[in-house]
Amino acid sequence: MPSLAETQQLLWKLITAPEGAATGLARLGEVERAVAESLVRAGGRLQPVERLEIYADMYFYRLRDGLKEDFVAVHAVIGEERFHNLVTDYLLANPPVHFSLRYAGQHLPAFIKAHALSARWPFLGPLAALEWAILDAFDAPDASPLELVALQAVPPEEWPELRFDLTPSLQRLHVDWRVDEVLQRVRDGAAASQPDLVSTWLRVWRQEMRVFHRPMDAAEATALEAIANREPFAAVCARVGELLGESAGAERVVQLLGIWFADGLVTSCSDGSGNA
Amino acid sequence: MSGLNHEPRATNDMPTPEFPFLGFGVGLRPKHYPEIVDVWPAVDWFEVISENFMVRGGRPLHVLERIRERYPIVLHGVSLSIGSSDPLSKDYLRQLNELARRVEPAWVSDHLCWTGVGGHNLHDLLPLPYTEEAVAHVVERVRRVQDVLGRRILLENVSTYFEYRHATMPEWEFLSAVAERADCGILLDVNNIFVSAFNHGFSAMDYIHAVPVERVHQFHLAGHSDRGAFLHDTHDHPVADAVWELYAAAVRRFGRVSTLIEWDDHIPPLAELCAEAKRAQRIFERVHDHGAQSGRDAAAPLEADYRS
Repeated sequence: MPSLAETQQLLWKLITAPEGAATGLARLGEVERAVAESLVRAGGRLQPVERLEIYADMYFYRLRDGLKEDFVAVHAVIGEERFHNLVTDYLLANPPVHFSLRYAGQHLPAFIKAHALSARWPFLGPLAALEWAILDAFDAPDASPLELVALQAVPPEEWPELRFDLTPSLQRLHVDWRVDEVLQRVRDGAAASQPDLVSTWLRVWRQEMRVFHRPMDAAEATALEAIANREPFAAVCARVGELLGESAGAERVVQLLGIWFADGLVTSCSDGSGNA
Repeated sequence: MSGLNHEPRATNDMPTPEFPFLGFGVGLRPKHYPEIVDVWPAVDWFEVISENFMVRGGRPLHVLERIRERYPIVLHGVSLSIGSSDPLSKDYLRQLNELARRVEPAWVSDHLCWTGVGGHNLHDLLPLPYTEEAVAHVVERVRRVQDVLGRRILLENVSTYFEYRHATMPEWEFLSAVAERADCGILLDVNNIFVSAFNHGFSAMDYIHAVPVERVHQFHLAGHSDRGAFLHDTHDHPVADAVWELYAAAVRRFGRVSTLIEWDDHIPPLAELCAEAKRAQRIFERVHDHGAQSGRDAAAPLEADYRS
């Protein structure tokens, strides 16, 4: 009689076999197959392997359907059959390890980038990365946005050393394609056509329980990166100034701060000494 | 429904405070969030899938906390994997414990099954071999879980599609042995009994009769699909008439037990879901008001035998 651990390992192999339990059983070595065949009670309306096939189907279809919900645009681009096959390939390489189905697709964006599908749809990996970022923003830790009035209360002489904390839901993505436009078309019910090949920075964030995304120009991407790296306001202005000129750089950062506050991106600010 | 401020009625079978009688509830699903916080439906309580709220933040937790202000909540997990040969996940238990402290549920439940092995998760509820080895394995783990959570948990019987050749006892004996030795409660899924009885050719009534009355603190009801050669626990239909009859028999034997309607696919409007809970309440009242008493192993005639 196999131990509980042996029993479960064998069943896992059969249930996750990409072509089903019967094929998985046939591919086992002779000794292991004999043990596997002795596991399930015979009798009734179904053969033992047909009973295992029910679990194999449930395993695959539950994950496929969950991934379809998480990667709606990827599914829309490649269609049902290719998505089905993609999930088959993906699960073989990345069987779920997290206790929550929510994380089953965490490696899918990287997997797609290396998958044959990317030869035909080179934007597919970045599109998956955007959809995953949206999912991450959806249940990122909560943080109350800072009111603009708090910033306005900071004396001018303290501004150069001001550092800002950003909402934990904020993510910055660099993509080579306007995949945000693909996603929007899918959400609008339009056909998912090939996007423009444009190097683009995107930001994804949650505000008042809703997730948003928008492209950023080079100045905003640079400034937001510096902010995320906890660089002080003066340094942020200097970085943007390298792109726009010193005066225009500072002016642009002030303008961006207004947008970020309106979008709820800033959660706190403090001077170099750590005073909020 | 009994109403938002449902008060358990005074009867001879007063529930223990640890597992109070909550009435008739429904599973909380995202599709219904907006309607629930808008109309605050007349349902007694909600059960939530624990893992859906073991997240860092965002809308699910926000909605849950709003609903928790008005209704009792029960945490029902699907990934404890109490029967796995893998070690219990400390990270999972920590997060579950954090959620329980935040939500203060009426109780916490999961399934008597295994959901993964070798660090992998199948996201399904796999049956255990009904052996002494498995009983001892699960009992030790339930005790540890209860220690971590600081409370007793309920374990649910799962619907199954195969049985192990080396099983040495029937499922109901396995369930009862685990509950007795681990000192945990039982969430008796009436539909799962019906489905498994059909799939394996045992008597659902034998099952109902064998489970210790004092251990059962919750019922589940759900719909299933008839696949011809087997019944599939799909949670995408109304509760079948035969399962309602089995529920009546369960009420007759177990008495005042909190009851919950599960519906996970092709989810209907909230009103339809609540109507199913209302139907459970009517059956409960019909059976209960006609003299069945909790703790009495129904000498009264049972309505049907579900041997397939």
